Amino acid sequence: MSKEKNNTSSKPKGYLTGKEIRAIAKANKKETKRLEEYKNRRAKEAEFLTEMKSQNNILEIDDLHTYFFTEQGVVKAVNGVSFDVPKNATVGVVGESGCGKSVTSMSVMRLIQGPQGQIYSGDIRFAALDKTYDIAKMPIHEIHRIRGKEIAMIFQEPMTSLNPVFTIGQQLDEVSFIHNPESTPETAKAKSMEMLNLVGIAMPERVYNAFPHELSGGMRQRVMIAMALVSNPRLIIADEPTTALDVTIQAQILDLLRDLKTKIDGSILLITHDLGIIAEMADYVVVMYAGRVIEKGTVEEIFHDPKHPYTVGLQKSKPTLDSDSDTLYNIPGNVPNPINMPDHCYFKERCLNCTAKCSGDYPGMVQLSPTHFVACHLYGEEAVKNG
Amino acid sequence: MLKYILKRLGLAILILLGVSMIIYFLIRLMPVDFVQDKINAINQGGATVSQETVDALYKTYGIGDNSFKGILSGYFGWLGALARFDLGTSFVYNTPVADVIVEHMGVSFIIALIATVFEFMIAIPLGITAATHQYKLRDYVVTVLVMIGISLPSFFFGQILKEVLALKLGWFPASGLVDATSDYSTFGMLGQYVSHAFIPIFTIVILSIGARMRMTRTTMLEVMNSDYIRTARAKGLNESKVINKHAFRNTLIPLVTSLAGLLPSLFSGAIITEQVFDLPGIGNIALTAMQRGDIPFIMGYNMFLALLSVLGVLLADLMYAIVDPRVKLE
Repeated sequence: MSKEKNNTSSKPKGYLTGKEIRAIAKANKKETKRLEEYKNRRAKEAEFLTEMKSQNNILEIDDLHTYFFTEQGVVKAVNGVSFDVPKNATVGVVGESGCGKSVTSMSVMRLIQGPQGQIYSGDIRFAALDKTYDIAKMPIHEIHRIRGKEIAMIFQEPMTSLNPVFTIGQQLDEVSFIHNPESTPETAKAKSMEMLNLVGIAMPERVYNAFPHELSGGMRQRVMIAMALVSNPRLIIADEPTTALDVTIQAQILDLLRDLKTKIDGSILLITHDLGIIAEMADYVVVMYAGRVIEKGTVEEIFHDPKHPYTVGLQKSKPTLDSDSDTLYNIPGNVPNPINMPDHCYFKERCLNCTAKCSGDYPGMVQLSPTHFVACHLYGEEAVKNG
Repeated sequence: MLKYILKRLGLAILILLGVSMIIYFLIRLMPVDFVQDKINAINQGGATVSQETVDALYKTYGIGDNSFKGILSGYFGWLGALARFDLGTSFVYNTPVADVIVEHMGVSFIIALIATVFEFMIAIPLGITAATHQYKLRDYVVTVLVMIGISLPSFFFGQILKEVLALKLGWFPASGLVDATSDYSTFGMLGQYVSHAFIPIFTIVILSIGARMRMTRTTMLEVMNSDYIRTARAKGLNESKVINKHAFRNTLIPLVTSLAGLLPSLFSGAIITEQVFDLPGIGNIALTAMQRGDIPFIMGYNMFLALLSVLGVLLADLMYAIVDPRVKLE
């Protein structure tokens, strides 16, 4: 479909004729129908059981593609993302708005809103206690085995993420009832209170009986974290957990998350655009740009030895106390249109270190150290030499 | 809470005074003259009416003086009687207005109540299905059907149902509430009422489902897109629990509130539908009264509805406080 549009390039950019719009709608309908049917199919368990590549990992995302079928064309929000979350580690995913980091996390939870949004291909392998599931291949009605139980999620909007008509207690207890069939109202309440205590809420009894609107933003985010913890998940996805909070509360929530990791014996996948948070919290960093991973490595590698020109630019754009400049550095140019992605490196137009090779194919992942990977033509030869 | 209710009731009295004054002046300025119509009727019968008799008639009915002062004194006369709990005597029926209202309201109320119950019972599930299957076949089918319902005028749709179901097929009686030839046992009467009221209720329900269904659908869609629904899914709740518990409770807020606002329409009678099926409901009576300039009845009827409207709004606010924990009444 995108090929068709490139051929008729005499029109102004972004303009679609009625014929093209109908063609897109038809193609979208066909694809979304197929993917919806796949999502809602009945399948034997064997179909979505798999093996982890490495026993050290709890989550392995492998060549994940999540697309949105819009009226203007297919938006490849996540376009071949691969990274691992090791056991008992915090992995930070960083990137600018719209780079696909949230969509990646939503794909892991299978919360992508259909029929427009669909996981198109790829694997999301998750090591549950006894079995290893491929989340991307699970029929949607089987997802309850994992969602909220093995993997819990904390969202970025605590102000609107709690249901306004139920008390905090009702919403917390509900998690116990869903995932632990032996729960009684008493045990559920005890568990909820325990979690409220764990996240540092001063008057748990009062908060338990309160409605969400009676709590502040920081309190609500603590409640959201408590809710994520009720089912003893092995992986917590925190999607910009501090974006909507003011700075002092941000610090408290981050401290809380860091403490929790040691207490719950699990992993955290932390999505953020704040490099400061990543530096403080993460063991491993994944840098995303325009739906792809462009660099990944340990936090030391990314912060002290960034390789990709985009990562270097990100580091430079960080506000620092000792800088004399009045303005912050920003990377020149804009992200390419997500509908018609170029065939070459997506960062080429904004990159200051371009070589002739950059007009060629999209660069593959180059391994620089056992943990450090970068997708950039600048490092191709080195890798060959080392490899 | 009690203080709030008392305050609102006090306000209601002021509102009702204003309403009554406006209605009274409007009726008196209407180009309908009960006495003149009466005299015309007598004149057509061949008799002549002397001027004294005319003056006496105007004096009796209290509608002779149409100057501002005359209307004002007429209004205060009505208000004074009201203070003694007297709504006056209907010109047309020659019985106290309150008795006429009570006598005819029952039929209208029962019909409206049953129709409203069916309306909500049908429209809410339809709206929820349409919302949860947005842009799918089910949504389109439901939407088109209820839109047809909204678009049909009641006199047209009622007439068609009457023609087909009553006159052609003979399944139901065509008009009235009881037949002349019937058994008058309690059970027989009940059967009579049910069979006579079926088509009118059906008409009202079909015509009113559309708006309620659209409202439910819109609210449900808005709720389904909110962050807390995503949270509910992320917890691991299955989709039916997400819809029927988390989303439905929030969709209910505007619905319950609109239910309280329906209070006056339960008692006002369905004027056109009652006309079509010749039902002795209050809507039918009110229309006749309006056409014939029955001032005490129109005043009594409209004030009754105004009171219900004011109470309905108060009830809606109280309902809000009950179903939405964020609302506190001060």
